[in-house]
Amino acid sequence: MSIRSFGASALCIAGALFPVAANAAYDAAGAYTLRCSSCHGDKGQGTKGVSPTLGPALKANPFIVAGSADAIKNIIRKGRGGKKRLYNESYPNMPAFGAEFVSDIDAMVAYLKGDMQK
Amino acid sequence: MMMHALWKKICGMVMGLAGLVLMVLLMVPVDSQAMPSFARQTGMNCNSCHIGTDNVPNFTRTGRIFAMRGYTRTEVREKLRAEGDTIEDMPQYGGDYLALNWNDYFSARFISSLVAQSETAAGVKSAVTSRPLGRMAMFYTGPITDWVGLWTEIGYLGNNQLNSVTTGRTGPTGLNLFGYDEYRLSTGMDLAPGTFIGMSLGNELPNVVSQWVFPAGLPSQWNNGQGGTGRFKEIAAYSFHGLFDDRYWAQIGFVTGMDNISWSDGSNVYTAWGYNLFRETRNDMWFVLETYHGKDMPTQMTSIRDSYICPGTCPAGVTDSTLSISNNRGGGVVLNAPFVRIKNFTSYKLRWESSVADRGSHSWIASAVYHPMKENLVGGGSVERDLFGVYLRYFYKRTYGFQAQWQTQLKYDFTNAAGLTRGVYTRPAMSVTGLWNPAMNFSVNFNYNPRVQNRVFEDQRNLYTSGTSRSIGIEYNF
Repeated sequence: MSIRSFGASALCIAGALFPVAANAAYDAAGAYTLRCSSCHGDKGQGTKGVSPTLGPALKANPFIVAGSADAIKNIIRKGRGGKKRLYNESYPNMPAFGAEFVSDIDAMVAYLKGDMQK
Repeated sequence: MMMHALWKKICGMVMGLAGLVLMVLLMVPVDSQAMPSFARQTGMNCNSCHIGTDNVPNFTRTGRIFAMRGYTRTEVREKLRAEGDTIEDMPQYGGDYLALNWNDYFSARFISSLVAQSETAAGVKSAVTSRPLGRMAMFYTGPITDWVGLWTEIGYLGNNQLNSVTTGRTGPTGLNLFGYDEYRLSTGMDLAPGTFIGMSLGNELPNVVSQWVFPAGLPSQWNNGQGGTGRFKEIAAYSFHGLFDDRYWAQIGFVTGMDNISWSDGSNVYTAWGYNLFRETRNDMWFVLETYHGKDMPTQMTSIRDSYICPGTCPAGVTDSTLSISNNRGGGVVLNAPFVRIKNFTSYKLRWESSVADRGSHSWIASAVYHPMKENLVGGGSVERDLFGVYLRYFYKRTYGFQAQWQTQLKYDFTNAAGLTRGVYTRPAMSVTGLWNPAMNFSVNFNYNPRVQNRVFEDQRNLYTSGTSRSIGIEYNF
């Protein structure tokens, strides 16, 4: 194995072992704007009161503020519909957002529980 | 030889087992999770706006309000990135729309179905035209500018053609295939939370703005059709409408016709007044009064005898006056009726609708309509026809469902210019359809119609005849 290929392999392994570090520049606020804001509002205020209403407020939402990170991740990844619906209102079901849409879900949850609530 | 028989037996068992496994796999309820580009525009999935997507989709509250609002959500304009920005290394379009990339704008649908028809009691077994490639179309729904939304579908349509069951009038088919273009340009303005006004221009009846045109299984005597139906008809419809306090719907629409060879010339006026109860995705209910009156409508007696195909007198060998595109009234001419044309008409619909999405594992649309209409005829005389119909589409886990529709006529009288009234006889119409949606953008349907029938004058009831039909179809949206 050449030094060059060894180095490349090491980088790959390091990237696999430390994905968070490799994804440190993840723009959670930008991803929120792109993926979430059309339903939950650009500041997390929700879209109740506009037509059609698409999603509840996330800012000051007790579940976002006090709920476990794992529960929030689970909803982002799997969506929410049918018996799992929480809101008995006119919001449509929440679609699932896989890693191709929200690649760093830890950062996204941190944003929802952190900067968004300020 | 014995080994050969044993081998055949084993092969048979394996094949049978494989078939059984396949059937079980197909029958396992799964949450449908496909996402065609039609839905990617909003990031939501099909189920957000539709309860079932087969052939004619019915709507959840979200879908209905989205249509009423004009397919734009101007309040999100500020939330998207500027041109050239990237997120997750993906270049983003700038601008004001929810669309992600240009290829997300367009979607397509493919519908195929096969149909068979029984022999009638009178021994008539008509030829039936199936359309394995029943419809292919491109469609788009969404904003095209800051303030203008567009619905359009362009393609060709070839519904299954069940020939007339009238003895001696089986007629040729194959003319039930045509290109079409539907469009509606809409705009709207928010006045307050839950309150907006809007207007639209299109080539379909104004009841598409609110989607009161659906469910398609409900009775409708308004026949200005699926817009832009090629050489046959083209209408222009203008609508002014609004939703107030998130629950009151008011609308007035004006419809003009052109190229209506067989219809009266003129224009029509449509109004709708709706009240929205409950207003939840899991429990939505509407009460609606619609009115429609004017001069431009084919009659319920001889709707298309004087059509483009048979202008006045049909060509030699063509004896079936039901020849038309799908916008006729389903072979709805009355046997031996005189040729008449509408001078003017008045009608209304009283509608109740319950839309329930994902209440547990259950979703449904249930609806009922009472729909009277009176036609005054050129040269005197009139036609009065009152219909009542009910409709139910139900889905379990959005995957397995059925659809049932039933309608009857409470009154159907033809009065000629001399004042002589003759009743029209036909029995209640009904059909049942099994639905299977293994994915949101793919559906299979099995339809059974126990009564394919004709319409006759009461005093000629001996000419009444009926049969059955059944069909299988698929729809794929991508």
